[in-house]
Amino acid sequence: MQSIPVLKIGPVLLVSIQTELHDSLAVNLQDTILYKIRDTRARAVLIDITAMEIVDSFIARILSETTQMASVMDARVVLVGMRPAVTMTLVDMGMTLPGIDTAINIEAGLFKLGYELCAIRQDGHAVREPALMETVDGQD
Amino acid sequence: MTTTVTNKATANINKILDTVLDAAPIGFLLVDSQGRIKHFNKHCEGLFGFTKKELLDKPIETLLPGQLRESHVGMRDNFITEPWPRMMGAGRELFAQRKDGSQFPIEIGLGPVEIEGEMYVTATVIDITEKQQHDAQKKARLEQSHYEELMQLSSPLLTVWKGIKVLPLVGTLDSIRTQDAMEKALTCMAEEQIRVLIVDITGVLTVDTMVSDHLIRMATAVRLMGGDCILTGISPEVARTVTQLGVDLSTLHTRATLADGLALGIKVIETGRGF
Amino acid sequence: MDKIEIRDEHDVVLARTAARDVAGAQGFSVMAKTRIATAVSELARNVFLHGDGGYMEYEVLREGNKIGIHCRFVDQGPGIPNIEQAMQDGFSSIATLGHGLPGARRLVDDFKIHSEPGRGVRVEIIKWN
Repeated sequence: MQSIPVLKIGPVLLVSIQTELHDSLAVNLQDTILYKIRDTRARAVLIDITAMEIVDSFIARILSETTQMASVMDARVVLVGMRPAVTMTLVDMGMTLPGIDTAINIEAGLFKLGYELCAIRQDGHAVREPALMETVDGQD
Repeated sequence: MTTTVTNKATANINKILDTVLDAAPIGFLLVDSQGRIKHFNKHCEGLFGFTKKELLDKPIETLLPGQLRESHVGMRDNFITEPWPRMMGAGRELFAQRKDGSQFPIEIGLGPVEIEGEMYVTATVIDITEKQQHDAQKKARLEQSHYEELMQLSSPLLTVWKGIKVLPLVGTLDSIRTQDAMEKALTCMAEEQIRVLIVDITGVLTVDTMVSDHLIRMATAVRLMGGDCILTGISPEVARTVTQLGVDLSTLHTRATLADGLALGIKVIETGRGF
Repeated sequence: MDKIEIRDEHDVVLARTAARDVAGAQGFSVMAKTRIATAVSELARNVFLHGDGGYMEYEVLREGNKIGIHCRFVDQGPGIPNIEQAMQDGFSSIATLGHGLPGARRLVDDFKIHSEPGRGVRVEIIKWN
């Protein structure tokens, strides 16, 4: 079974979708992300869709749901690199993905998350620095 | 003797006239007061597809589209009672009909003439099919280039800060223009990794429900791309209309002036946080 | 007309990839290409989710300087009893958030849907570049 790799970089999971996403692969990816959040105690997920030429209502719904589910598990999802044509198509269809966090590229996404994670730490919660390029805890 | 010479001269002149008329690149017809075709030149044969024999002494209405024939009889009677030279069809399109039933646009000039105490009408006919096609093409080209120019003018994207673009919208915002501006802005955001798009509507004539809807769509698209959209240049009038129309702009980040919008944009860029 | 059988979700991918490739080969703009491919994806999914499978036929249209793509989706499912309702935003008998049919309609230039109860659904779309 084909699957999409979910990489762990510090407290952040990085998912880069590089293949044509058929429906069960999308559902599968949602599962993988949620289990990985639980198993690695990741605080954030970057989903990079730069390579995706088509995002239809089904895939959009899966992405939107994944964000909500992750949020219930206290992990923040940022959707990265949506193409202009994909964006306009979704807006045309009336799929505005309310509540979903986005960033123009992976770097901007990490910046967004890094700031957020530091802020939580400053607020006194036990969150470590986003030591982004380290391997963490040997949980993988 | 004199008569013979005169007859011969007349015959000669008729022949010369016929030759001249046949060489003319326009249609020429002579019609009597009853509307019968008494004479016509060679160009008419090609124009209408009739031979000399088929057309001679036939009513002029033979050359008109079916639906005009009846009313034309009355019109030409009027012309005979008040004859003066004129160009027909000023301000409207005239059509003639060929033998095969097909129609073509024409220009006609009419001139009354008295020959041996009888009233006749001369008519010159020009086929303007090509001229019309040419005019239409020219008009279409002109309109297209005007529209493209307007498109170019109406949605320039200005860099005002690293990572910030301003899109000043001017004039009337229709769907096509908004779509076009949106496409350009989004493509530019992706190519140049723009974080903040400021849409300034100072120059937009009216902001109604439809325009508001376009603006909300644009802001939504910018958000999906991972950028932030700030709407500036909101005059008291616009604020009032929008509120009275019941349009909800709360999903947008709005500022009264471009300067305030830019200040907000720079803050967004520097914190990297977005809204 | 070329034909693609739609039996499962992989065929949905096949259908939308075909639409995207044809649009690309005909010189469609990126926006137009993405719209037709997305509409095809929605309608092809409809065929296998609601219509127990079926097929898509497609062809290139030429009208003067205009180039378009015409697609026809036919399924053998139970049909849609109330088309008007199905075309409304948010309506869906299977959870796809109800954006499928109305969404696809907004992406194309011409959209026709025909259905009789028990005799399947037939959708035709045209997208001009």
